[in-house]
Amino acid sequence: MIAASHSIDDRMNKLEKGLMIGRGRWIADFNESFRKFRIRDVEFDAFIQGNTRTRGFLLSRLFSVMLNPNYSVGCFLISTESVKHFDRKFLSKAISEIQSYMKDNEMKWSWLFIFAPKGTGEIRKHVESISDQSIGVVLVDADSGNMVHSNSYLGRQAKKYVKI
Amino acid sequence: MSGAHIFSPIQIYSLFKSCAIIFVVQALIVLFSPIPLVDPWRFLLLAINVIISVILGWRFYRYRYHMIFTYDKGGFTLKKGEGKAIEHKWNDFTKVSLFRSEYGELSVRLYRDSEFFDLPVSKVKMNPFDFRFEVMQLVSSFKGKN
Repeated sequence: MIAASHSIDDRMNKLEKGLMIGRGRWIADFNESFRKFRIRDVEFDAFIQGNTRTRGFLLSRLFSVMLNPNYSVGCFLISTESVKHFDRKFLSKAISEIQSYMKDNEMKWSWLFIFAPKGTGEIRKHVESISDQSIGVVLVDADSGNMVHSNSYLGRQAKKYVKI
Repeated sequence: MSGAHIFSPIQIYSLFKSCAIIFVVQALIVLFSPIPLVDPWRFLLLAINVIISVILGWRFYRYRYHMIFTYDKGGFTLKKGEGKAIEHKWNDFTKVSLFRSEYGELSVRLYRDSEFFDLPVSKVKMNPFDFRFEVMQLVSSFKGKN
């Protein structure tokens, strides 16, 4: 259990670091990260916010300003081990809290990365069945790093561009 | 501050910038002055210009850019160049984040209501990811006491 917990922390730190130094720049420019981020009753391990207007140098910056819309976006991270009972009900609640936060803060889309040790069949099925197009949900196996994504464009993009 | 941690590394980029500013100013003075730019004078002038740029650039860097960051369990002090030191207590703040500027510099952002203060940790050669956790602990350690 301790080894898995370390592995989850390491993977979470790696993902956060990757996004903060610009690994997700093809999708968005993530520039601010909060730990222990609470939305009402749900505490996420991390929340990284950004926007779709990517940075760059001269020409790429000019193109970005002229062509890219400046949407606010976010990435939420949560570990199944930091929650007492992480089940379908909790996941639905977390998603609805994210939706309300997005609405309040005029965010266009979000990612939700769930880090779990092996043996999360029920959650896996639930993640695969999520079809909300404004939230990309990804379940990460903390041991192997394998990812399962929700049935949305954002879910597929998360798997494609984010390396854990 | 007792038991304080002090960080004041030389910021190579700022030092180079300071030297370059002095060099350009001297080069412009030479260009617009009636000094004959012929051999062997021009090489001698260039050498003098470089030496003066390094000496004055260092002074200018210390005066304008050099940062000294000091912190302990109670609070921190940030001093830039010869400017006035900024002092804060950790319990002045309620929320902590890690922020990346458009130039790629990472800082620890401290929030007080809607206002914030940035600690330029990557400029003082600290690990921003690790220091953020330390600051979170320092800030939260005061929460229960207030």
